Amino acid sequence: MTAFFEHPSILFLALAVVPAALIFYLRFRKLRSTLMPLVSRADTAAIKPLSRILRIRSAFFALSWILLACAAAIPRWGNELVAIRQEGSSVVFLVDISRSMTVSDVAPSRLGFASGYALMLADRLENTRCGVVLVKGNAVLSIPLTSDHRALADLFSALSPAMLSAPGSALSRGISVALEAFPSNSSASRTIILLSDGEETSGSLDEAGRDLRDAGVQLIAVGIGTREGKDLNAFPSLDEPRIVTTVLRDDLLKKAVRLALHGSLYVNGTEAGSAQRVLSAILPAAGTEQKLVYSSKPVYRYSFFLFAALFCFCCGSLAGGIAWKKK
Amino acid sequence: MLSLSRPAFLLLALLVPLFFYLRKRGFLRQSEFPLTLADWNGLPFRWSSPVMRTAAIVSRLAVVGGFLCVVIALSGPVLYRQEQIFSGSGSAMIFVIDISPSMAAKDIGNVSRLDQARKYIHEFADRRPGDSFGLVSLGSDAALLVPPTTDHRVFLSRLDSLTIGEMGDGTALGMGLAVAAAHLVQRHDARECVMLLTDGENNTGEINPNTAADIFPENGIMLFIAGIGTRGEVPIEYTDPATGKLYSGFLESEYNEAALKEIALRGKGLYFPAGSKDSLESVFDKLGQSLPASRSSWTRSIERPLDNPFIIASLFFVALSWCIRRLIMGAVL
Repeated sequence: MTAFFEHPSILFLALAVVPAALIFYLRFRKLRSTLMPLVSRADTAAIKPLSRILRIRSAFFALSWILLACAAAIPRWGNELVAIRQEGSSVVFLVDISRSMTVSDVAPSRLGFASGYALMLADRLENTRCGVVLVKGNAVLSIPLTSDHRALADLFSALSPAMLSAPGSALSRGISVALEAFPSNSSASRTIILLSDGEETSGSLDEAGRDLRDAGVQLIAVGIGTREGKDLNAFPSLDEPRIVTTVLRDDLLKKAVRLALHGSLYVNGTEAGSAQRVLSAILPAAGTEQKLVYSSKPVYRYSFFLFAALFCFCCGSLAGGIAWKKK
Repeated sequence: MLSLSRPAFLLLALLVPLFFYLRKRGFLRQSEFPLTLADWNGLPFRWSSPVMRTAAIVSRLAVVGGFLCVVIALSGPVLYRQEQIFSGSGSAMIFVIDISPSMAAKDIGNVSRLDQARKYIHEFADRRPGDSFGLVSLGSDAALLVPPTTDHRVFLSRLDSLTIGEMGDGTALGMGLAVAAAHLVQRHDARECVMLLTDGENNTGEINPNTAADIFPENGIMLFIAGIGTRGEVPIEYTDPATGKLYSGFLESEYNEAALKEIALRGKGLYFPAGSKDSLESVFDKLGQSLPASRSSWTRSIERPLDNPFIIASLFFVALSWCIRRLIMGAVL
């Protein structure tokens, strides 16, 4: 439902027609049973069409209310392309520092590998503003977009799961925070480099991929780890160790990349030449030339619902409560 | 600028007067139960209670209001605004702010020295949307809190969260200047500047302020120093963040202006005394003149649809009308 309505919770207002119809029905039945004995024989024939007219009128009014509630929920489907002028590039490193990143199926550990990988990329992105978002059970913007690569290097050298207390791995939350890190008044292209093993304990990377597509942001997912994985004690604070095997979930990362569009890319960080592929995907945007890129924007359809609601209201007013006067 | 994307739909509003006209002329009539309860040619039914009469009027007005809101929403009201878009690096400026306890003294405009400085930094940043701003705080030590960034939201939010005393009781001017310079020396594509706001003299830290000041001319970084506050006895109120203890009373304010001037001289920068609101304002004016603001590359038109508030309002009006008619007035037909 969230794919079709921006505020689906407003649709609950449409259910108000049920108690309204019940109240109307009970009241009308009571009125008819009270007044029918007083109605003259000649007027009894007029009661039947009145009941029918009231039913039609109520149906139109109820439909009008339902359509209005649908319009308020902001219906949307389909996408249209919007041209965006860009110059230069900006990159937000989204680094997964959850506990699964401490396993050592890649040397020295997934997090150590991610740290070195990010440092190397940042070194090569000289004229690009970069920022860092750290994600675990929650996500925080640690460094806003800056040309000060020394600050980035300091942070990458100190990465540790202890930097955030919330347990888990909320990658989609991290993407939301990273999206907010791009100032709206900058002409630079927008890229998020996600360094993660793809394991997610809350949220939905698919949904985040769609958000990236709508915002016109490129996602470069760097998978860190192996498919065979390695064992990890999930709850080190407990007396008895609870061992789980944590593996690289490249399927989830690839799916998010497919949904994000805009030249998004998945690379396995341990593959030779992967960093070069990442840089090749970003650097064309880092020049000083202006270019036009296209972002997809959802098409809002509320006007159809509004027009239908207005039509039903007018029909209800004419067909039900109002009748042509017989001359 | 307010605009309508489908103004032709506004003509639907004419249905309201048309409806009332047709009803008045008798072309349309209300549905009614075929039962005569009054004498022939007697007075028709009317609400005697003023409350009910008012409720009837409000109910009708609510229906009309709901209808008009839908018509307005259908006509697509949109608010357009122009947003300046910036490309390139722009100027970068790091504010080095002394947050030692003496910055809590309330001798400039009846607010603390830190709050007054914060106010002017806010105004300065708002006037320069394309520039990068960074933040270094200093006490007995110094730390980079925000690297130079164009994300003003983050910069201002961290500036607002600065707490007096969080970096300890001391004034490590040399450390503050060195930290700021270290994070600007890598930039060579734009103008860089550091502004030190302090009310004290260097009394701690591993780096001598004069040594730190030497980095500035070597790397083409401009240096501005503002000596905030007045001399003499000044009121002060400050809560120690370590103990939570509130200190309130008077402070014998004294700072070494000659030492600050010397630091500015070594850094080929400028020193400004800022003992009042006006002088502090003029410090930021001079800073603005020395460092021209980045010019926007182009402007972009941002549209904000306003239809949803009207749709919500129409739902409210229709629900209000129904509740008044059915639940208060007891209408059935």
